[in-house]
Amino acid sequence: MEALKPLGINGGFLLAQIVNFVVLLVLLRMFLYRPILNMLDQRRERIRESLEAAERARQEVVESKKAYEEELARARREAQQIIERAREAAERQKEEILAEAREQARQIIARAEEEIAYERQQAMAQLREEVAQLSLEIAQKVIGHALSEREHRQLVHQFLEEVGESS
Amino acid sequence: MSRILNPKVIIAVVLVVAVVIIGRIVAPVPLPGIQMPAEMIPVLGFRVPNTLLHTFLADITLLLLAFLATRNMKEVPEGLQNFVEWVIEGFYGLTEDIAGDRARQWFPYIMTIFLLVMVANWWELVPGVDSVGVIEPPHEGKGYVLAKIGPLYTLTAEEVEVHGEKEQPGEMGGESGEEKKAEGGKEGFPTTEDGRPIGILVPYLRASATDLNFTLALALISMFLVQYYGVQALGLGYFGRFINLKGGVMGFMVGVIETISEFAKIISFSFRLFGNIFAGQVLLFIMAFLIPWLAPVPFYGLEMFVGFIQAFIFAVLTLAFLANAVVAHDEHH
Repeated sequence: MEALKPLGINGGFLLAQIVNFVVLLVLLRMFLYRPILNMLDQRRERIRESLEAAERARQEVVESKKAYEEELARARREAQQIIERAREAAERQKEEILAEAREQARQIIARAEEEIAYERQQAMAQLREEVAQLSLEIAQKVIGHALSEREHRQLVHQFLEEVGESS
Repeated sequence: MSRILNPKVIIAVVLVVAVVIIGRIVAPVPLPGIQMPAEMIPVLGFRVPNTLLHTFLADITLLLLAFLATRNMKEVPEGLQNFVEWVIEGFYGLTEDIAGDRARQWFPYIMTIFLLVMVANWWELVPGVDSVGVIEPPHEGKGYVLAKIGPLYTLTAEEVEVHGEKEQPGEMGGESGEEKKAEGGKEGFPTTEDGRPIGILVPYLRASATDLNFTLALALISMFLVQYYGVQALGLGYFGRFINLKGGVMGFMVGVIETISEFAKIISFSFRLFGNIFAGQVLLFIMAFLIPWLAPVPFYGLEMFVGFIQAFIFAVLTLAFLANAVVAHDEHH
């Protein structure tokens, strides 16, 4: 140890420097490193969270945009369908109405024809009767005497039928 | 050629030379006697080495910095907090690169070594350190004629040989610094023939690293940490690298060399830092002595760099040795 004296090495001062270092270490650890490193950690955490939040927000925007577009497409499709259905219904209704109208017209025409035919028959029968009557009267007046009414009538009918067949 | 003969250049050169010469004549600086052990300063009845006082100054500087930087911490840092965070984050990143998972554990030691050494080294460059102190009677050999400025005394560059009073043989008299102002300088001093007092300056503060106690203390702490974490990580297997019986004669010799190198590290740690800073201090003394004005300026820049780099080397070497100690010996062959 004597040999170290010219170098200035001294146990007491050496110990003093060691103690000084240890005390400084403890104090700096407490008052400098811990708060600063904690602050750095805290800030790193904050930045990470912010970035994640930003990413989430971006994701949400993308998703909501997608959802909105889907909704829009669906609405368009539905509107298209509704229009389509309405057009089909209208078409069908038109067809039905037309069919009904045609049917009615047909019926009216049929009825009218029936009536006409009936009227004509009626008129024909009446006319035949009257002609028979008339011709009977004319024949009586002309001939002067009467055939028995039954014979007469038979005669006229025969005549009329011949006329009818030829006409 | 014409560039060098440019009148502006000539004027500048002449001015510099003139300043240097005037400085040499007007304010000559004594070349101090240089001694290795720290000088003792009486503080509150104790005799405390000025290098230890210098260490306390560095401590106070660091604690003040810590207090100011963390007093009002903000999420968005400003000013000093920002600067201190930058330093700590940078050093922490470096520690993490080398130490990996153990960064949290080791960082405080590494950072404290770096900060303490660097701040102590840089304080040496502040005017007043090494040049303000107590005037004492010269012990032996050289002394300087004292001049009175107001209530204070200053050393002049006038050097005289002193014989007689051998208080502490082996300790060379005389001390340090440029312009030397100091209180004291009363009776009990030897005088020149024309009655002027002769004294030497004992500075209040002297760079910590110019005292082997400081550098050796750090070296011992570093190597203690290396051994401690080595054992903590590997158990008794840690000592396998020193007492190697498996590797035959060759392995045993390697173990012996490892053991020696472990002690050599203490010595190289302490003398590297001591030698660099002590030499830097001597360099500044000599430059101030030779050319008092202007010439020392670039050397202050150099010493700032040396002060930083030595602190960095001390810290990073400790870290590297720590990282080496926790790895099993067989793995890193």
